[in-house]
Amino acid sequence: MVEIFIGLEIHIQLMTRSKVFCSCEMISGEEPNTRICPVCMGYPGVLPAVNEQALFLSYLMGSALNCTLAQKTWFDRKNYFYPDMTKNYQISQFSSPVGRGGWMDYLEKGELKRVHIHDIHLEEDAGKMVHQGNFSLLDYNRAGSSLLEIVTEPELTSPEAAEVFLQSFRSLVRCLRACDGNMETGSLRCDANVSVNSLGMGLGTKVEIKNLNSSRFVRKALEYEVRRQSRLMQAGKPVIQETRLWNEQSGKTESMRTKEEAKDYRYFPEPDIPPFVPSEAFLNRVTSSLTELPAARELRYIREYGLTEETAHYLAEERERAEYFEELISSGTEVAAAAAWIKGELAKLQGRYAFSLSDGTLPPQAVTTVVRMTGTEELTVQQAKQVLELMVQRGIVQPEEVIAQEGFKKAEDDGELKEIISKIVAEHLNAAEQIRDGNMKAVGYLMGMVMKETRQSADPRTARRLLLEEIGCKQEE
Amino acid sequence: MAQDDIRMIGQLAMIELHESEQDELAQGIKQMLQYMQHMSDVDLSDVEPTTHALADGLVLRSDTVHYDEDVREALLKEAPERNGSFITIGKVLT
Amino acid sequence: MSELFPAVWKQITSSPRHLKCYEQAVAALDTDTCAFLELRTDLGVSLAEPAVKEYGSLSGIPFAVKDNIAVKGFQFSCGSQILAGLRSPYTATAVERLLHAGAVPIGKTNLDEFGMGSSNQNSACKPTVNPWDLSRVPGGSSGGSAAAVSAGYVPFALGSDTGGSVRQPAAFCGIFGFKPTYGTVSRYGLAAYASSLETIGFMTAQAEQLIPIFEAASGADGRDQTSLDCSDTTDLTEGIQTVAVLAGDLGLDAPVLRGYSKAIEAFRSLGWNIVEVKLPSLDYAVPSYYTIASAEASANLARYTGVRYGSRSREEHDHQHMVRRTRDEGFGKEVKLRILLGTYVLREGFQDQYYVQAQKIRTLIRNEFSKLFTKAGVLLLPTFPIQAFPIGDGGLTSMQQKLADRFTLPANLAGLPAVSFPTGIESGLPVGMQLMGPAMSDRSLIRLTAHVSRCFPEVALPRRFSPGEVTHG
Repeated sequence: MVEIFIGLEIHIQLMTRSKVFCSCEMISGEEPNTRICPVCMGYPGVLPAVNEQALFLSYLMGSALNCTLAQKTWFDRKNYFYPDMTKNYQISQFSSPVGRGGWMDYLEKGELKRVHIHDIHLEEDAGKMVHQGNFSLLDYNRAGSSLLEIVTEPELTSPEAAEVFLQSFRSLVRCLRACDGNMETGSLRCDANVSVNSLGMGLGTKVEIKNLNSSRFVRKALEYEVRRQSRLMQAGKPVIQETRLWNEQSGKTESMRTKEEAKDYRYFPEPDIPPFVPSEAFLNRVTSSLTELPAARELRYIREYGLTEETAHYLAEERERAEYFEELISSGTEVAAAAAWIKGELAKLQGRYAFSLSDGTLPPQAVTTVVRMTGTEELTVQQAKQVLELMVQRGIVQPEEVIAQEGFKKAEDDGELKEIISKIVAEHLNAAEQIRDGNMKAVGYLMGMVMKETRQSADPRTARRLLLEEIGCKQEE
Repeated sequence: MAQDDIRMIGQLAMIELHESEQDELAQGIKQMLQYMQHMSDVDLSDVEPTTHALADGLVLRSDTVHYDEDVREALLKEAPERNGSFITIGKVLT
Repeated sequence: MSELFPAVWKQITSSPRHLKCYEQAVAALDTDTCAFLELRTDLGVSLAEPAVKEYGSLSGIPFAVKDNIAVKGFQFSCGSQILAGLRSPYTATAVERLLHAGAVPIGKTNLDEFGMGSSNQNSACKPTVNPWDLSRVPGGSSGGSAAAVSAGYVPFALGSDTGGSVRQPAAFCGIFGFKPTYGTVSRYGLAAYASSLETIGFMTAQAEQLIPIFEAASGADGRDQTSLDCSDTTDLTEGIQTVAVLAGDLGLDAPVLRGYSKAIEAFRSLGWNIVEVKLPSLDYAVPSYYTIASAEASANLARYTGVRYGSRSREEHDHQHMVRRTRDEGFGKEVKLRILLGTYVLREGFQDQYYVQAQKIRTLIRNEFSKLFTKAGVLLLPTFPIQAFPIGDGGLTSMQQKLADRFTLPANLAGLPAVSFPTGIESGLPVGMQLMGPAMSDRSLIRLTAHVSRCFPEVALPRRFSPGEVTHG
């Protein structure tokens, strides 16, 4: 039996407007070197000016991850040369990070799990380098972007757990609006370290894996690495402590084979930035910006609302979806209906018209009104869906307005509907004859006429009953 | 100050040192280090180091964006070698 | 304030014709002194703000800027080969504020490479010489600025002071050199050598002139988060007037000792009490300073790699090789020494022995000064133990120069304001003494310096450039 120890080092690009130490815009996918200034280009004489929002989001993350928040935090210089780093030292945090010793709870198959956080620290991102033959091309748009590093303890016990944890972590940072969580664009980056050892023997020799740009790759790379290390162990061969790269094509991790160079980061306190002592007001703002986190929500939805794990996860995963769900309920929609409408029709409309639940396109009160009207049979379900789609199409937020425009209304009483039906039957005696003879296909045809005549306002079940009565045919069971 | 030492710090500091000046630099560093050794004459076990000239009072920058196209052009103009908007360098060994 | 500066300066800067004559005259004279690395009055005038040039507190006053301080469009060499050809894309905050007060930057002055040195002989360019004796050094590292003010080319100049680089050349050239309290003048735009120690400083021929310059250039700056307003209203000339002096033999050369005695006498004649004090930690100030300064420098100068600006080694090779070659070719010997030393003391396993120990000594020094300034208003001490020394082998070795910084660098370790002022000519050369005050006493310290200076004969270079020649010629 072997034991697996996995730890993650996660970097998130904080959702600040400007970079962490200068006023250049944080943006990706722009023309190279268009978001640069003397500061992020490391010109002689420039100084870092710490972005307040970056520190705020760092403390918010620290708080959400149950860390002990630093009462005094400062930056350190991490010294090493690399062409995408303009000063050849990275302003990071070493001796006094924003947060230490926290944990994060997440749900794996409905079960609550906990992973401890070693520390979280704020730093600056590097630029990007593209290799082209004998040259390398440098783009510094990303240089100096605000980056938060979160280091977990090596407590994840399987590659699947690492994947689920990472997905849950992604959901958390999105929920806090600290990061957009996009792994493809590199807003969220993850390195993994893994060691395998005989049961009860503690940590084995740690191998770091880089180049993991999706949570699926994290799992696949770890699976590969666990197999590789286990095989080495069985063969009595040592595992070498090293950094390996995940190769997506081959589905393997490969040794980076770096030149054996002296590595010594020579950390020392950044003299250009005085220590930061968060004020009470700052810390209060952090506390008041905390919100219920996805894992807690998911668990509550299962326990309080009796939702299935899958539905609860879907609703809790995204903050705006969860909040929308809760607003639907508080404005009067039944829990089951709210969940069903969000997962069904609203998801479909969002896919079709690319709007977000929180942008006011479909206010929750409006949806509640429409859903309620289906209950009181003022609208058919079909009409309700149509009303919502038309609201989106026409940019109308009052469902009543669309209902009036379409003339949707519940048939006043059976009398009016009866009149319409007898008129239609009188005009289609042939069809009525066929129905009496048992050809039920014609019912559909006549029902279509009825619905068209009533502009869809008739309740189909009532209309069908009345139609069959009029024809003199017994209602089938 | 051994030759290995100076070569090692030369690597960390990314300075290629001529054979000719290696000895002189090693001598100079050795002399300074010996002089700095005097610092250990003082017992400072209960003294806090001064890491910053100012103890606190960090006034943070508000998160606003500023951009100057002229400055960007001036910055790119200074690059020794370019390829379009990219700054280019030789092959990076890994 | 205008009477502090002769009106002729404004006449010159407001007339293109005068300006051209002025530039030509200074350029001709400076072929001997080599104070300027770049003289561009046209560029300076184009940066000046027309409205304030008329009415600002320093309206139309030309000034020189040490070439490790950024002025947009001007060169920004830091006296180093590695930044050859670099034109600054931005302007330092202090310079911007002086522009806003109407002053006109006319050129960049010579320095020891990246501010590392006390003689100007570490400049990658032709070294500046002392206008008082062309065979002697002007001091350093702000030697170019000191020579330019001393020779009368400009009424004031900016320097930077990391361990005495404004005060020592001021003493060597017979002018006033002021190092403000750390943080009162923004460092944004000052190419960093040792960030926690250095400030921009000012050099003038008269003490009073420092006041409007400091007023204009100082104050908190959002681009330098170590900056702050100089809000203190200390008045050193009020209350018990006590000046502290260091006890014991200070190891001064005879002419400097004479100047020192005269300065003590001057305070006595003004009715001040003289108290002798001992600052035991000062014995460790030099090693502490060089440990911290080298450590910070090793990181601060890591950005110079020939990738984004400056010179790049032309040999064909891979990137890493290019960087090593560029830094070998681009940096001078003294700079390399300090980078390597700084790298050494920061290494894992060595930090406690050197870097942390040095930071602790720094704490002791700060504490000793805090205590001192509860007993005395100011501390009087020499600026440098000797006068301007000869260029070349007859001068001081690199190690001797470092040891001689012992009177100036304590102010940097403690972040305190200090002024060097001339006490007269001894043996044919100027001598400078230094006054240090408590943090934030900057304005008062300047006023006190002006007050004390009246006890001394005016020190003016005999063949000084006179701006009147331009307007009358």
